Amino acid sequence: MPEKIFRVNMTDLSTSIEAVPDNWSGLGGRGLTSTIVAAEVPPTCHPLGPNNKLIFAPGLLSGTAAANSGRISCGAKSPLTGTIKEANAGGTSAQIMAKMGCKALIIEGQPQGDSWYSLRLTPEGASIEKEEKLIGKGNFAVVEAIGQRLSESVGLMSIGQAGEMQMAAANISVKDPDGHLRSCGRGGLGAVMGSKKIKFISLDAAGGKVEIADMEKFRAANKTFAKALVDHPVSQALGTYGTNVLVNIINEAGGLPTRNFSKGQFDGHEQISGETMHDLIVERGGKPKHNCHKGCVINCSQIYNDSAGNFKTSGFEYESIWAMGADCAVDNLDKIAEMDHILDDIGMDSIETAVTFGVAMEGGMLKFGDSDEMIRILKDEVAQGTPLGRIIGSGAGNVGKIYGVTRVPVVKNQAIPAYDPRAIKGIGITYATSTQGADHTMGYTIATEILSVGGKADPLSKEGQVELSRNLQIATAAIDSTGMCLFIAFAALDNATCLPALIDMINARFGINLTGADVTNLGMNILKTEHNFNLAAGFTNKDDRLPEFFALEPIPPHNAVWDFSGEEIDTFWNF
Amino acid sequence: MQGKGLPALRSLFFLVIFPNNDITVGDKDFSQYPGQADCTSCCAWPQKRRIEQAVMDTPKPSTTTVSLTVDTDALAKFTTLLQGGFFLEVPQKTRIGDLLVSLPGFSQEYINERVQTIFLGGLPADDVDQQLFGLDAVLAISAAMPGLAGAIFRKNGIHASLRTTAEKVPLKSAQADVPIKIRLKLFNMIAVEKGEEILANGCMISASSLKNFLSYRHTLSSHIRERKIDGQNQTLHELFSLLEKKNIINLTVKGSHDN
Repeated sequence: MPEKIFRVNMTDLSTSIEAVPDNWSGLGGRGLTSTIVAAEVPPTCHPLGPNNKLIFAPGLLSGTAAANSGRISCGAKSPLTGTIKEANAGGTSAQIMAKMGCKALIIEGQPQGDSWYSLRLTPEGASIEKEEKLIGKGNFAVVEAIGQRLSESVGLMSIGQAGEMQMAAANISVKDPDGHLRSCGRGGLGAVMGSKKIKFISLDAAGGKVEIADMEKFRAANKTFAKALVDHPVSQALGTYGTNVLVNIINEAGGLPTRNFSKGQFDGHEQISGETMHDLIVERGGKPKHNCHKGCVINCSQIYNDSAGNFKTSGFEYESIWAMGADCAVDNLDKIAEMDHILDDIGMDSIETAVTFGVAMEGGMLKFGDSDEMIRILKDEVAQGTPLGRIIGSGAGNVGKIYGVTRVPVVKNQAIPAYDPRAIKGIGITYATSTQGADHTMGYTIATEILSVGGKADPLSKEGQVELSRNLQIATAAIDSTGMCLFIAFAALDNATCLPALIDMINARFGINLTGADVTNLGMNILKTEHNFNLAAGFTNKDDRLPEFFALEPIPPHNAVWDFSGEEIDTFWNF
Repeated sequence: MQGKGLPALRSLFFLVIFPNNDITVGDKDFSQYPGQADCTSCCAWPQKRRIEQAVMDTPKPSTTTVSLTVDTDALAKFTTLLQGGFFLEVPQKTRIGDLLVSLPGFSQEYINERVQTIFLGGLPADDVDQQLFGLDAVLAISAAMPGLAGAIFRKNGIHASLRTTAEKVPLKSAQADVPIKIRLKLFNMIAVEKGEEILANGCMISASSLKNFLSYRHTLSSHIRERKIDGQNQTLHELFSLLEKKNIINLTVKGSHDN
């Protein structure tokens, strides 16, 4: 079936189906959400007002048998950063959306009054229904209720209490194949959904399928692609330990931000490491390997059970464990898992919220290491919307201002994740220049050589480091546009057959003839589109800076400081 | 790598470092140790002869030996203990590769292909020919790691230029004939794949590492069938009492089916 745009207007509660404009037809995932936001959202609008729009888009290969193609992309102007924002997640929604022929869902406007709504997507389009019963409920209750009300097989994207209260750290949860939750985590997109008064979106493909222009070619390319993924040693590590395998490594490098970024190593790192987590999962009958969407061959997710063997959380990521662990000086995985579960239920970004706690600890609101108080605050304050809860839910930057803390690890008001930029400077460049605030996934490891975007400057010079970071961000933007999981990057880096096979799959899916150069140009265009939106929103090069404390405070054990000048960082946009 | 120096190289694994700088050597013969891959192209690592000499000259003071017999199917769970590291000692200027290849189960091929991330003193090391010197050092090894950070720290990775160039702290100088004390940490797949052999053959670890490990992984105690301290059966309580008092122990962990 031909792809369509589903448009929902929450001001007049109308829906429509539109043809896909020609200039959107070759886009998917982040490429499409950012293009639509840039085209239709006034850059200076209030992110929680009627002029912001919330866009959902599957990837170019979502809904097909392509390995690791099931990421759903969500975009809007961010209430946390004020920039353009894209966040993506696994789960079943991307594949269902693609199978119903929906290339993108655009939600615009804002209803008057206090009523709440839900959206139902089918191949016939979107419909709006009033919702009362599930308002005020957490995401797990929503998943259970919708499973009973509609079907266990429907896709579901929802917000918890944090999204309803339009907290800047609110995320959007996406149901995974086991009925657990994945998250479009960063940038407060859950608050945007809450501002539209939409509690959840259900998706039913009703037996729809994605058409493949050249099935034989597609199958051959997918076989090559999947083999490259499965065989890669990083995939093996991810499938065994998940991303939390990085705790020991980053700690050893002195880059594990500890106690609100005051140290680079955490004494309790062994208690929260991926190795320890793996053993606990196996011991308690959980799953060390688990896929967040059908067709994933890496299986970096996991099912983490409590000590009684009952489900506690899934998709237990390094960045979340670091944030609630080392950054808050908590060395107990079960406590961290409890917090992760609560954050999933309330619907909050685990990085932003935990970094906020770290800043609050620095400010004296609670003590470092006091996981019980963190859990209490999440349950009794944040979920209930008390004044303290709303302060915590507003993000690390705001809490730093409220408590007069100068060590506030944010860029463009978004919390810096789990890699200290003083110890790993290449990531610092990405934090500074990302169009979406501090985000480690913006400049991921992609096949720079294969895409012919390798740098020309001396790689050891600062100029060369900025150039490499730029090229990583260009390549990442391109891969994000396909809607593929970023973890394909490792195989794409090392296996000469992997990225060409991905391009072959896209060509076979649509009957086109993309080249590697096209993909590179796509990445450049996406970055420029996002950057131009931010400039129009009032951001300048002065916003592409790390917080001052990174230059002033050497981080033990290597006592490195951030030493890139503003002029050096500004060369990032010279392309 | 099979050669006449190898038996002593394997004995190197049993060098012990005490906080008071006493040194001892394990008393096991690894000359028949299985799993060491043959290699005819390892001439780049000539240090083994010098290591052999150092081992042969090392005194043998007594140390406390802790032997645990555990459920065989639980053996793998104990390998996570090695993320905290174990201790050994090598001559000055020993190459990293020479040290690693002397470990039970390690071969040059394994080191080249599987060991993709190496930290020496918290700084990434790209070259297994890099020499060790000074009084002490922490060496950590890992398989290939995910993410940009994983790529940045990867051995000879193309993203190495994105590392922070930390000023190297001058190492405490040591006389040429004073061995360097190494704390070797095995992370992730490396510990899984080689840890059981290392534990079965015995290694020197800090008593507090074992105590902490058994504390935060308290269910592992139920898999311990037998605890011997210097050959004498002991209770778990007695084991913990010992671990409170000691700094370094010689730990052996074997499966119950191995006896």
